[in-house]
Amino acid sequence: MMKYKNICLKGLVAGFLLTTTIAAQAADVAVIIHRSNPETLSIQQIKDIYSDRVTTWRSGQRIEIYNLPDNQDAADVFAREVLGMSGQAAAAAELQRRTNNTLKNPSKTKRERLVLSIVARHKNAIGYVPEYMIKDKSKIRVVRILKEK
Amino acid sequence: MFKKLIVPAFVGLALAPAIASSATLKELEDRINQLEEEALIATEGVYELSTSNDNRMKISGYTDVEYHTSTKKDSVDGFRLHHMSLFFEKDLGSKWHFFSEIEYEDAPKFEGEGESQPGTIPFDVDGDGTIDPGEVIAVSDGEVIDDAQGKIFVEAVNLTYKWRQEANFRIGRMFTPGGIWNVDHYPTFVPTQERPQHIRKMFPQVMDGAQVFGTVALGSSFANYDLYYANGTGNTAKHDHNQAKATGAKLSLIFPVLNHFELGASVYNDPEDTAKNDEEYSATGFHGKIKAGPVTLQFEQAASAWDVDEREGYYAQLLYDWDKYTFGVRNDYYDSDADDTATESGKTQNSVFVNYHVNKNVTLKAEYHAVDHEDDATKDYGKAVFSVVGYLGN
Repeated sequence: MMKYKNICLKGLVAGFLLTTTIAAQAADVAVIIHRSNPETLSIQQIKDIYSDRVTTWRSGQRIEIYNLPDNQDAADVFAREVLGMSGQAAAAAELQRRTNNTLKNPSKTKRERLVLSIVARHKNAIGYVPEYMIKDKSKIRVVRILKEK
Repeated sequence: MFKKLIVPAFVGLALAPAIASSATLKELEDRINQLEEEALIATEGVYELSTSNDNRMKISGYTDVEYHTSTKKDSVDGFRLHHMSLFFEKDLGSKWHFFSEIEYEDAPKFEGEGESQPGTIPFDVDGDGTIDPGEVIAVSDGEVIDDAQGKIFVEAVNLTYKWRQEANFRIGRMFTPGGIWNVDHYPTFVPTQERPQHIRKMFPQVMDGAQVFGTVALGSSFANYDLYYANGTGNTAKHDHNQAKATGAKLSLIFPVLNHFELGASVYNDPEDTAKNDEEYSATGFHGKIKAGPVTLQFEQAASAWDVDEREGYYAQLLYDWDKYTFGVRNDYYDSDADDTATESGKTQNSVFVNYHVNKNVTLKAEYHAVDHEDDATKDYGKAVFSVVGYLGN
């Protein structure tokens, strides 16, 4: 009887740890740029890029901005932690600038794997993906990890 | 002899599963390699398709249907098929961008084969939604249409050269950068179908000309600017009626506090405004937008003057976003004859409204406006608008 209790307890603990680990993994978002890009970026600087205030890197090259679809958790975490609004509100704000024809540097919306793939290839790109997706850092650099509060 | 045969046979039998499994393993390895190659090709294909999609012509737009009701004398309640607008935009290489908007207002209908005499017909020349006295366009023989309603309007068509963050160039027809609402005016993004009264009455709605705009970093703050040179109001896209051109500027300072903190000013001048009988026309205004969490405060003030008249107006609007709802109130004032202190021509409009964002493409709006005239002889009234707005894009 004692043996079964121990097994159940271990199972519960393992299940809890697994669940919290997965939840933590799902919540963390990594902001990524190309490996060769020397920029270091604060949250405010990332906000300035995604708010269309800063459109070029210090090198003078135009920044290629990548977003995730606004129905993804990572897009919501990014928008809340960086832009101070929901993912949907952030998407609407950019749509408003696009429709008004005041958007100077529009972002492109792609799926996570494609964002990883594009940032790994384009030296002027910036994007964000769930942190757990990053297995290979040979072509990208993580500039910020955003944790959902 | 028997031993010579039987031993290899047994050895062969014993090794058969291993040989077979090594063959299977080899096949699996080959298959994995093949699948990896196919996955790589598919990834490349998706990448190429995705990036080539970015450069395609994008078509979007919006539409809205309203129901109006009012306590104003002789007004009739009813539906209005207000807008159906289409946007076409395309990146022309990495630096050039094309943008256009064609607006169909009040479900336009034009038909007829009527003969006409040369002359003039009333027309909303300055595009402010009303035909003021003297607003006419010339027609030649055969141009008048028997039966016409609504409006088809090329609201924007321009080419932009994106040089750098600090300086971009635009030429064509564009929204006049005067204040906030003049540009941020689309029903999809504004909380009311009724715009503040002074909007489009100070700064022209659109202009045909050239513009320089950009963003300059000032430490951790930013300055957004617009400078333009254009045909004045009352001039069609085809030509200008006089040598004088309109010039103007807008400057907005954005400070790194709260979610958004913006203050700015706009100026406009046309030495010979065709729509004002070639008199000098000038307008000035200031604006602000402050967003903190779910609360947004937006305000604008503007005044304009030409030889015979002065106008002034302002509004302040407070919004609160909660889940799929946006609640708001607005105080709005406009005086079309501000220099004449003898007559009370000012009008205040207090508004309360709510938006329900069904999804990112559909918004339901309900708004009520209480209109209060300074002139006691004119009766005050209330009006309500219920609307459905659909954004036709991705």
